Amino acid sequence: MPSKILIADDEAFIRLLIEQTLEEFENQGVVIFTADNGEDALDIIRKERPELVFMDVMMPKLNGFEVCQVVKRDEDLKNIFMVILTAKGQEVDRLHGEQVRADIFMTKPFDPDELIGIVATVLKRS
Amino acid sequence: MTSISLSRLVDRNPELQEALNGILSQMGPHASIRDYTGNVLAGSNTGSDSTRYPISQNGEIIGWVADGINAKPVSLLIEYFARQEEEKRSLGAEMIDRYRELNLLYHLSERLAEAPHPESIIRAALEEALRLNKAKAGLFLTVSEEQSSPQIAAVQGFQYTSILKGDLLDRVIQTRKADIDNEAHGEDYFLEEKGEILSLACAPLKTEKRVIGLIVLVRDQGNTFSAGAIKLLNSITMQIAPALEIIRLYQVAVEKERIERELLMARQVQQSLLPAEMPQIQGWDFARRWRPAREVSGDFYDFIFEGPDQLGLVIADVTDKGMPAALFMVFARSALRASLGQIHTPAEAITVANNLICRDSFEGLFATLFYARLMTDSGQLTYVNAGHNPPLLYRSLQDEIQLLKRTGLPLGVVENSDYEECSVVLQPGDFILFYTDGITEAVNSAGVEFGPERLQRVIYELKACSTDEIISGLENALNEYADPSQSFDDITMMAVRRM
Repeated sequence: MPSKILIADDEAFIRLLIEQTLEEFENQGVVIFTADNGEDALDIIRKERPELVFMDVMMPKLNGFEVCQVVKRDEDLKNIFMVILTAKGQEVDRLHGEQVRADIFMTKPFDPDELIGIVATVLKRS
Repeated sequence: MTSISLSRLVDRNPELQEALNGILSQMGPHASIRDYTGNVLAGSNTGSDSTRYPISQNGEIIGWVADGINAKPVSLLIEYFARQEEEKRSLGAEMIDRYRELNLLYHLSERLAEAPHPESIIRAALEEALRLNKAKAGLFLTVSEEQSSPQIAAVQGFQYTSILKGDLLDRVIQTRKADIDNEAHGEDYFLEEKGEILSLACAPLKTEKRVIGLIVLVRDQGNTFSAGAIKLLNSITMQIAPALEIIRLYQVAVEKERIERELLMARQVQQSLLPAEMPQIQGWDFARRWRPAREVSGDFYDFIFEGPDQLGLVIADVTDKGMPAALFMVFARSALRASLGQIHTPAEAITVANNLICRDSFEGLFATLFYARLMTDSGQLTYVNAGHNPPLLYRSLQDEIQLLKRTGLPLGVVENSDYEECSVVLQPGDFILFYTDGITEAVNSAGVEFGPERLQRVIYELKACSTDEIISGLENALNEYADPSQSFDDITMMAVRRM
């Protein structure tokens, strides 16, 4: 089974940037899924069970915190590594990320090398 | 530029997929889009790919429109999408680089704030430079005026321990601008390198006045550096150079403060060796002034109570100023005090002191010294002048100034030197001014010394004053005369009058 990563962001260009940053993993066979809203993201999570999700906060239908909360409360899904990736960098947002038990809270503009490092670590672990 | 994968293009563009499916169904039952190897990406997989039309990008075939009429316009449409995708990717790559750069500066700032030590800053800068530029090795070099070539402060990626002064480094130091050499001969730069061609990028760490260091990155031949690498490297050096310079200046300031504190303590110690109080002897009036050129002085004076009605008077001046002179002064004072304790006549005491000093003499240092033994009941003054500026003796009866001239060499010059002693009797109204050469050698703005004649004139005019007034008057005359912008020597004065 190939490893799977989901990128959920309502901005197409950000999805492209993250995807392009993770291209070397894709070339090694990792499958990358994308979603432009929270509902679709949750559907893909339930259906594909990715090892890792990069999740924007401000998205239509369900926001990133809500999706994260659902995932982390679900016994079957809670081991999925959830990265909140947001332009909202206030402490209150970070605390919100902690509340919904996100594994990592990252701000945009993200550090491409940090992103690569996270993927490498998570995929190696799983 | 490498061409993009057709399958990825089709996968990621649902609109394109939909359009193609529609078009392909119009083209015929066997029409399909195939990738470079012939796998069907859209349309039917029943047809053969024997009649096919290429889809190209940047002169490379990335796939085929197979087995149908009107294949050419379909191919052109896909090529258009491919070009759009390529442009988007190129923008994306550019944006990822900017993100990297932005995060680099952020990380560096964070590391600078966390650990403001030069070593950790250098290590952080080198690590980030290497990581971002994907170089195989990197060096951080310090540049200083004292060193003929840059010195390695940190290395990552290889074990070179010696760097030679290659052309690129010279050029960067001289022009103060980052530069690259993608055809560098390794042996020109590294002592251990043998004949390999390397790609090098080098950026200077600049302060306002000079280049204080270099970051050099190394890649293998063919893996060349571009202008973008220089920009990235510059953004690192421009951030850390001021930080390193601030740390250096701070360290200099801390060190200066430490030295000043020690000097202040040294001054206190030295002052404690000077008489705290003036002799209080019926019929005599004493005054003195001690003004070091720096925190500590090579001048000293002393009042030594040698017995009833017997007072030793000392004034001395060590060659040189500052700490060496001050240390020598302490040594000379101890030698003199020790000699006076054992011997009876002033000449014998000075001879012994001279021999003690000569035996342990510091390189090139010596002291001029005037020692007098004053019998306070009779006014008889027996003295030895070991190379010191002759004190001025004012004779009230004759109304004239006489000089108590030299009777031997300075202390610490020649061992077993002979010292003569002379004697005068101070009559009521007579006084002596003892001084060091800081007074006579003070210069005015024209560079002319105060000189012994002027000193005599000033003292003569002050002849009716108390010893305190004589010293203050002389000090005022000196302050008026001397150019304050010129460095002055240690100044010591001592006056004794018989009432």
